[in-house]
Amino acid sequence: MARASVASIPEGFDIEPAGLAQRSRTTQLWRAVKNAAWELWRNRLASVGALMVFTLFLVSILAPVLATHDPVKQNYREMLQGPSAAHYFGTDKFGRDIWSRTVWGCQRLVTIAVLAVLMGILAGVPLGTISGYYGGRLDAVLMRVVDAWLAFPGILFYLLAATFIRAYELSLFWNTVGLIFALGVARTPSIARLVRGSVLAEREKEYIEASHIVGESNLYIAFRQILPNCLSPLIIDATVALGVELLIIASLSFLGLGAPPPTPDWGADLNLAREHMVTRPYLAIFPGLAISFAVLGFNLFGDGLRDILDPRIADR
Amino acid sequence: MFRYTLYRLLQLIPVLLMVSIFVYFMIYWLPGDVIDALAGEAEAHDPVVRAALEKELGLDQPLYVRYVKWLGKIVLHGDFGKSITTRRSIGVEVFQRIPATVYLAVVAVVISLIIAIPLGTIAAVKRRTLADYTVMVGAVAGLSIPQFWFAILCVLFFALYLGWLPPSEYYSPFDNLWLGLQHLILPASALGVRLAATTTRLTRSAMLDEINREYVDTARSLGLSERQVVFKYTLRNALIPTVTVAGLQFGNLLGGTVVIEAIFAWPGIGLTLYDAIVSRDYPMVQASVLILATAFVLVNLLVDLTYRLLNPRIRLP
Repeated sequence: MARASVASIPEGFDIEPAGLAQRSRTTQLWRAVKNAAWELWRNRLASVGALMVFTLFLVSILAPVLATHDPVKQNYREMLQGPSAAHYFGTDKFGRDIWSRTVWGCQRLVTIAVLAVLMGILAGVPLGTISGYYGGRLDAVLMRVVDAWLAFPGILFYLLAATFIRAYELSLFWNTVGLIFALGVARTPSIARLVRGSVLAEREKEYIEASHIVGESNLYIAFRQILPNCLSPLIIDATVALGVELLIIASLSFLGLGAPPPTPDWGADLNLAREHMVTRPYLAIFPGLAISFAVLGFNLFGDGLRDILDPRIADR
Repeated sequence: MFRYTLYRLLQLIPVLLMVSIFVYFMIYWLPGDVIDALAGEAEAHDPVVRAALEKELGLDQPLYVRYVKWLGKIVLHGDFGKSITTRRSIGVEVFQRIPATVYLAVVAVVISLIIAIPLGTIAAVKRRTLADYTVMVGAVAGLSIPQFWFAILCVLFFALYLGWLPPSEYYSPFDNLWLGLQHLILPASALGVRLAATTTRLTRSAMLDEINREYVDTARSLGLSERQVVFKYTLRNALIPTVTVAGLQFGNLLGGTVVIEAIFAWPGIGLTLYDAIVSRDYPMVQASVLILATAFVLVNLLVDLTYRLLNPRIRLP
């Protein structure tokens, strides 16, 4: 319709409103990305963190290419070997290649952590936005629920979930789904509370008042105008949360409450390594280094993002 | 303050009720038949025996009645039922294990504060120097290293390689103080170092907050030395959030010690819970989770109230 009304305007003089908005938004986005990249580059620790996180994702995606052996195939002729050209990180007591297990474990852990945090965001963000935006009695009720939710210690929740999953003797796939679900459910209340806080502060600003006067719908204002301005703390929180989830997953599998045995998992490999700690310490070194590397990456990146996105505390 | 305390205590009731319902039903939905577990091979198929057992255990009653009875027994008599594996009273079993965990958790928090307060203060006072960066990078590394890996490496190095400390086991400090302390150092440090990572960062940022306050300028202009300013004024104020978080950390450790207790064979409540999960002793799991969650909620409330007492500025409802 807009095109029909501007048909008489000579070519090359494009004032089509939709197109203009489109282009300026892309330019805006491009500028934002360039700006973020520049800030990231300037912040040394953050760029190291970003690089580590990038490596993790790359290893996860390229796991089939990087792995030199089948991670679950046992080979008793080559058990408990030290690091060599054939087995970069050595082999465990079943003769499985630790390097391949570490690489596949990376894929497994990163996938679970990302999906769990994503689930927490998908559940927590609407909850927090609605609670903060509408306020009043709804907010009071929702926040009491969140309080009770947070009052239940996370570790107990994960242990209960592990008990549940073990009792049903689920297959690896459903076992993983259960783990993601438990982590996501436990992540939800803190995200809801975080978003609610930012929405509450943003709600009082003048541009929101203007939107009300123009007659925008409540849902539009809450999700399309307020929420985009509340994303920085959420992004920071989610990045650090990825590291925390990794630690939890590894701890559970270290206790033998994670995935069923042959699954490549850093925590499970560490647990196995304890038997041979004195004679073959390298068994305990590589999986542990892998976990530390991953969590450190997310922590550094999250800290860096905090400095970049929240300049008020950057000076600390 | 009294009204606020009362209000918070009343608020605990629905929270604890929700926790108990959650724990009860989660365990209820687990597969497996109690009667199959209790009755012998031959008797399990005998309908008369089954009916008698059902009656005895109250399984013929509707679910909500059983929940109310279960909760009633706990609240009124402290009776958590019997463990499936040991056949002993769960209440007795669990409460016997609590002191070991509390002991470990307290020492861990103390160790973390001994590390964190000086390091955080130095980092803040010498901001943007090598000392500051070293402490901060150390803290991020401490946050990133998994506790159980750190514990394993400690055992490997101090116990197996150097032979200075015993690798695991527990001795009560009341029976043998020296042996008790020897066995305490590794698990408590493994927990404490990680906690210290958080507290160091917090102490530093709290100190930085205080250093920029006006009263600090006043104190300096009165001719106080920098040392006096830091120790007499800023550190005292900066310690309020630090100590608060240390209290919350203590609450988190009740239950958060599971991994460390499992590594060091430390007979606390975390190990009890872990053993119960592994041996599928569900009433035991139920009871220990309920007790730990209640303790966690109570400790958090206590910390919150203390914080308000120490910091009158936020004494609003």
